[in-house]
Amino acid sequence: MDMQIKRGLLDVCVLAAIKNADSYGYQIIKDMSPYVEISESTLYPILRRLESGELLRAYSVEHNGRLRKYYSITELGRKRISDFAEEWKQIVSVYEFITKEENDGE
Amino acid sequence: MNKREFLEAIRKGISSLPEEDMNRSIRFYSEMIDDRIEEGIPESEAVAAMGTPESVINDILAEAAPEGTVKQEAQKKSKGFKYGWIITSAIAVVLIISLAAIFMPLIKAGFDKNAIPSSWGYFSIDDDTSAISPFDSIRISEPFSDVIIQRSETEDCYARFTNVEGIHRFYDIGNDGVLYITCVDDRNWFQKLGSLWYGDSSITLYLPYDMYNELYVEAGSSDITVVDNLTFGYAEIKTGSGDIDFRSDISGTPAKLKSGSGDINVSNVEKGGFYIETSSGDVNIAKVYTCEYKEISGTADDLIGLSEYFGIGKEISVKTSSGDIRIDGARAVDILLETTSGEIELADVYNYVNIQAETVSGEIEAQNVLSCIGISFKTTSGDIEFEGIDSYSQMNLATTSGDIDGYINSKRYFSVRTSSGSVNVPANDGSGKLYHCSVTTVSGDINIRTPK
Repeated sequence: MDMQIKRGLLDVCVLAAIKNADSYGYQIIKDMSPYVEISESTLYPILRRLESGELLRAYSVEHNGRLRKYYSITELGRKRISDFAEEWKQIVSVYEFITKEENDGE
Repeated sequence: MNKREFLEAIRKGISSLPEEDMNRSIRFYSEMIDDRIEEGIPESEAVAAMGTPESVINDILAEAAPEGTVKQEAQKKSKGFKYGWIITSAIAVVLIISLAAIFMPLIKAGFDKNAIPSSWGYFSIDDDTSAISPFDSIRISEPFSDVIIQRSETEDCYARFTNVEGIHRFYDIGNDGVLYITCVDDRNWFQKLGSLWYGDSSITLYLPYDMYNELYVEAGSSDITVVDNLTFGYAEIKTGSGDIDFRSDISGTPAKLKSGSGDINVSNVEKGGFYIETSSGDVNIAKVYTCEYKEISGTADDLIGLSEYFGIGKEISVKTSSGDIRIDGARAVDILLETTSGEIELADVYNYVNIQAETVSGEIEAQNVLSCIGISFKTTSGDIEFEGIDSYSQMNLATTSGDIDGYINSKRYFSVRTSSGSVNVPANDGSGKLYHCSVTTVSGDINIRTPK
């Protein structure tokens, strides 16, 4: 898949994984795995990017004697998800446009 | 390869990065490995799941390169262009849709039963399409009157408002499940002048259910009150110069409360966090338990067992420039308080991660304030006074010209810095568990007591 598109998709997937409840890195990977494979080294920059863009916030919670970082979606993050749903409609209509041209054979 | 070797290899490979970035990366991978091990996966497999050190190093460096150098200035600007035309066109689409959403009800309402004759001052909101709640979110745009939102005593949903000639109100329930209440100001100049004598005007919305999804209220210069007993998934309340009084729960992301010059009061909350902002108003927080109320006392050691309790809690963040910040009763995961010239007063505040209070010229007063991971009080010219504060690990108390005075609930290992002030802190006798406490002032006096 085109890198730019995939990048945008994964951003939204990560936001979707924390949409209902705050979550931490490994849990996010597990929650996403039925739908899309994502490695730690892919997730890490996404989380950082989303955090610096204020689409999510991070906080640490003590867990079994160590700190675990939790991620919490912001309103901007939620907006990104709903924007994506709108974007998707656009993409679908562009897709229809592209394949229509092909079928018409012009 | 074990975890230590793996992380050591990563650290070496990315040592060219700024230390903060380097540590952040290491912490991330360390946590990922720990979480796998905790799940019963052998350490070597947990490490192998990260990929080879070389590939991880390459990924970190590749991501850091463009960002680390240009990010600082370019970040804000480039964000919009990151996804190219997709996002641009999406923004256009979203804009059109949201504009339509805002104006559609108005246009629609202008022609049908929803237009409210100004002589009534009352409208009942119902829909006959189904028995279930016709809307789950509320959006109120009110340029004129105070807004009050409260639970209806019956199962009816209705609004009551002060009549003012030339002010027309409309409601509409959109297909998106949102109740829109809007207001059109048709007054001419002398009516506007006349309404100065009307005194306070208000609109009260009575809601039939306890829980709603989202609440958005935007007022011009009037006050907004959200009364007890309601729960919203999310709320955003804004007013230009009015006060905000919020007394309901938030079940999702922390609510945003913002006023230009008004005061913001939040009280009696059993659930939910808040981002609060006002430029010249005061902020009062009383009985805000983001994770329900729990009686807590003692030292910060007692907090360590409460990670589950605080785990469902949310954060409280307050920013004001010239207002005071007062918290009397709070339980939260993270607390961040900032004011420029106001004072900060804290009492009965229990928190898991960090409590940060910062003011430039105001004083900081704290009583019974416990935070598991850290407490940081900072002021430039104000004094810092406290009675019964504690943190399981770090504690920072800093002022430039103010005095620092108070009692900490557990023994500390103090590192103290002052140029001209007097210092009186308990000696580090090395007994028991000792947590660090850094105390800094330039010209102020330091006087701190701990248990013997």
